[in-house]
Amino acid sequence: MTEAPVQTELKRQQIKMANWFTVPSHVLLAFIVIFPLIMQVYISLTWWTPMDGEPWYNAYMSFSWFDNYIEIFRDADLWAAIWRTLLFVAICVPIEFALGLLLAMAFYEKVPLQNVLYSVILIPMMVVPAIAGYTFYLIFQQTGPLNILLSSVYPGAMEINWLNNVTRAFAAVVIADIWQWTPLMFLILYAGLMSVPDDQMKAAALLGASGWQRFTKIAFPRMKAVMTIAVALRLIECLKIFDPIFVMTKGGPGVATQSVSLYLYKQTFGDNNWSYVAAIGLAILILLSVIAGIILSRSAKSAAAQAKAA
Amino acid sequence: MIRFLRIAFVLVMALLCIAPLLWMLSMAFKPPEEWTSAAGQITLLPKNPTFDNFIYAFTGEAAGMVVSLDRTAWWPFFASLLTATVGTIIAVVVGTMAAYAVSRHKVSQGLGLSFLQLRIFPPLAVMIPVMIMWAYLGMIDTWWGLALIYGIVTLPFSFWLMKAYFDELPREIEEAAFVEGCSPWRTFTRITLPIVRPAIASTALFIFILNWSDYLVALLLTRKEWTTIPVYMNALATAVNGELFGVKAAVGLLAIIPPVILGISIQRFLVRGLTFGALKQ
Amino acid sequence: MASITLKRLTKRFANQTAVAEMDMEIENGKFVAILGPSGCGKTTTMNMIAGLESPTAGTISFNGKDVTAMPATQRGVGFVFQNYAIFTHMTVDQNLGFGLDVRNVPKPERDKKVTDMAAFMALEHRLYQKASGLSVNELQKLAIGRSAIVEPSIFLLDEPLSNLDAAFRERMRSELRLLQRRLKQTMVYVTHDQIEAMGLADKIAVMNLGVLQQYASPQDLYANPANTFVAKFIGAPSMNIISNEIICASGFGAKDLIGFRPENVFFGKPGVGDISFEAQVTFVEAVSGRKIVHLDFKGEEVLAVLGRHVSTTVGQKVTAVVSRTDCRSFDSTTGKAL
Repeated sequence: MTEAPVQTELKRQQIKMANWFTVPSHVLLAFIVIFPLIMQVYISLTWWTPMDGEPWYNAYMSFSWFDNYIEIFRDADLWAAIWRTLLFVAICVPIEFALGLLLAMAFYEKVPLQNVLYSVILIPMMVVPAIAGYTFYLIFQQTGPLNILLSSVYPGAMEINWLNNVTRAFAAVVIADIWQWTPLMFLILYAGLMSVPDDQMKAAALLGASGWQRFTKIAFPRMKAVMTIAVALRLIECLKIFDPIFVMTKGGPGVATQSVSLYLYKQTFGDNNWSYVAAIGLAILILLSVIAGIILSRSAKSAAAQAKAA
Repeated sequence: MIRFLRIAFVLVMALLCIAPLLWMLSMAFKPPEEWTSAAGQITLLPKNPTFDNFIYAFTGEAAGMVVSLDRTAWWPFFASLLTATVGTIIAVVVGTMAAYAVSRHKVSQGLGLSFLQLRIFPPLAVMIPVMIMWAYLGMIDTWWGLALIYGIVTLPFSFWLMKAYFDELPREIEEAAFVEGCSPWRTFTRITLPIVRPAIASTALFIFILNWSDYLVALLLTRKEWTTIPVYMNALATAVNGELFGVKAAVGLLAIIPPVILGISIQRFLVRGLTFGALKQ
Repeated sequence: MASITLKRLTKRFANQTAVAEMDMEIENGKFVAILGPSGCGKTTTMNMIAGLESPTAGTISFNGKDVTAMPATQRGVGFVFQNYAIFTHMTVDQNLGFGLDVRNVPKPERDKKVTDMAAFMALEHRLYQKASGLSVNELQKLAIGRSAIVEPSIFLLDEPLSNLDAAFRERMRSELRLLQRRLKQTMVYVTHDQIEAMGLADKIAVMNLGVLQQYASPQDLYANPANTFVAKFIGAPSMNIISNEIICASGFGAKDLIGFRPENVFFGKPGVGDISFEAQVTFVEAVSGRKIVHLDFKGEEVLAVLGRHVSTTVGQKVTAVVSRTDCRSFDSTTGKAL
């Protein structure tokens, strides 16, 4: 008879504490999400920039309604930057995935100095991206080590200019990204590969399966979830890329390496179109939220369907 | 044969991973005349290795440098350390409490999703209002303004990581405490926290690395006083000496040592950290 | 079908010897058990026969052909793992057909073999279901079927019944024996359960700490253990072993160890040549139709197994008698039978 009240009192206390525990998170979220969002919507509907000299809350003085949003569709430079970014991601992510997978497979059997080599291979992804960018800036100098090494097989190498040539600059930032993030793919894919049950691999071997067959029939099917996570993670981060490219080329030569982030930066600090950038930012937010919503509801549906079938 | 190819492949990859950093190392010890030169005269290793670049970065004066630096590297290193540390503390404290609440008592379930969304959005898409707000509140170029945003931006990581740990923690341990008459707060501080202390440590180190490695946010929210190392390093130049390749390399080299060392020490934790707790090593 | 010959087979790890110089010959078509406590090297021996581990020294031959250097994928050995190692992400059909699929056996032939094996193992109704949904019993049959379908010359089973509860285990024991007879396979069966080994095998290899203790038929092991380890390991309850210094029986060395089975002990008057001693009952266990009587004899515990009808009370003083022919003697230092 006295059990129930004691239990519910305890439960009440716990819920009370739990709610208090989430207060700081809610406050910070409001601080960084809710309020800025409102501000962003407000600004995007005006022509305001800090150069006006007016404080931001006076932006209503230059209302432009949806002009900024219409501009998004007409802005060829923006779409070029989007296209460039997609191209960049389409090249980098598959290569990083493939190399990471090959490395994971290479590490599956014992390798001499395994622990040391494993740590060494992980180093690039721990390097500060802006500094990694600078490192490759140095490497791709016309009188840099890359050309020095190349000139031993190709005499005219010292004349090659990387960072001032449209295609070569793009290649340079691609190479820098591959260097920095292949280890991440390796890390995740290797963890997935090692979690494949060992005796299933042994059983497959005893049934006559070659190494390749063991990978394709046993390991790969079991790594689907891991591979999806790895690719999704890298995809999202790659689309956001800013630091290394900014340090290496600032988006140049011209706009050859201008990703979306770099374009936004130029619009903000080069052309001072703050309200326009606010509008673009909102558009991206809405777009990504919709995509994320679709993906999540799809995976929730398929998870429910799987639960039913099992 | 295959075994040979496999090992050769691994060795080549490891070499490629290290090579760019070795070049940084070499540049860091090169005197100014070796930074750039006419074709053929630049070499892989410094001909006259010197510590001058480091000395210049930290004292502002060195032989071979015509003009002295108006800002040495000490303060930016301190700025990085301070903002990264405080940001980490904010993220870990707020995130752990929220993770505990959501994991154990199922309140505010939507919090996790909001945090995830935070990570998906490109920074520049949200930084305009943040910059305006920070300016309005007088937080531009302050250590607390930067630390605050670091804390918020890495909050998703601490939340998801600690939530995964709390989900795995058996309830019986805390229930035993409740039965003894422990209040929820005391149970949390005296019983739960000590158990997850190693998890908190790994999470904190991981988040510290993320904060230290930031460039864009610091670029936008600092001006002169509180530029962190990555921003400082890339802006190093003087009117007369031009681009200070060697000095930048020296500073950059020192700047990447802390995160690399920390990263290797929490190696086993990285898979968990980077997948928001979804995968384990 | 193939015979297996192990010659001086050895496996050493950094700090210990897992298997030491094992010599053993397993005849064609026989069911042999490798029996011993955990850590005795039985699983390591089996892994070496399969090719999953390579020996430090010694050779393994199938039908006289040296296979020591041959990789596991080519040995044609069927292996049933302790936890079955079923490919849980595949269907039963895919599991059964796996060995045929990796050899690119043409589809009609492959499908027929799979459906035949499924029928043989009573799994047809599960053919297109995911293997992860099967019961433990079905998983075991699937594991055996999967290995049998490629017609290996040898079957290795690593404690295949230890996952099953007692009721099923009895049934599966007889099913396994029948299966072996039907498939006419050479089967090597690793277990730590001596009752299982005694019931199933034609011959048993008893191992301890990497050394082969004795390799003989169950009857031989029971009646003539080669050393005290085998004597105590085989039989439930195990053989009583007492130093002759305590029993003081004539005809044996003064320091020898005398062994006799509890089933051979009775209470009453000793006959000519029988060995007898005075003991006191300390404890009686009544177990399915018989009594295990614990006796205290000069501080040593001696066990006797008697029929249900024999009256016993705790504290009762009895004369325990064993026929001389039922006694075995062992050297007190080496433990070897004399």
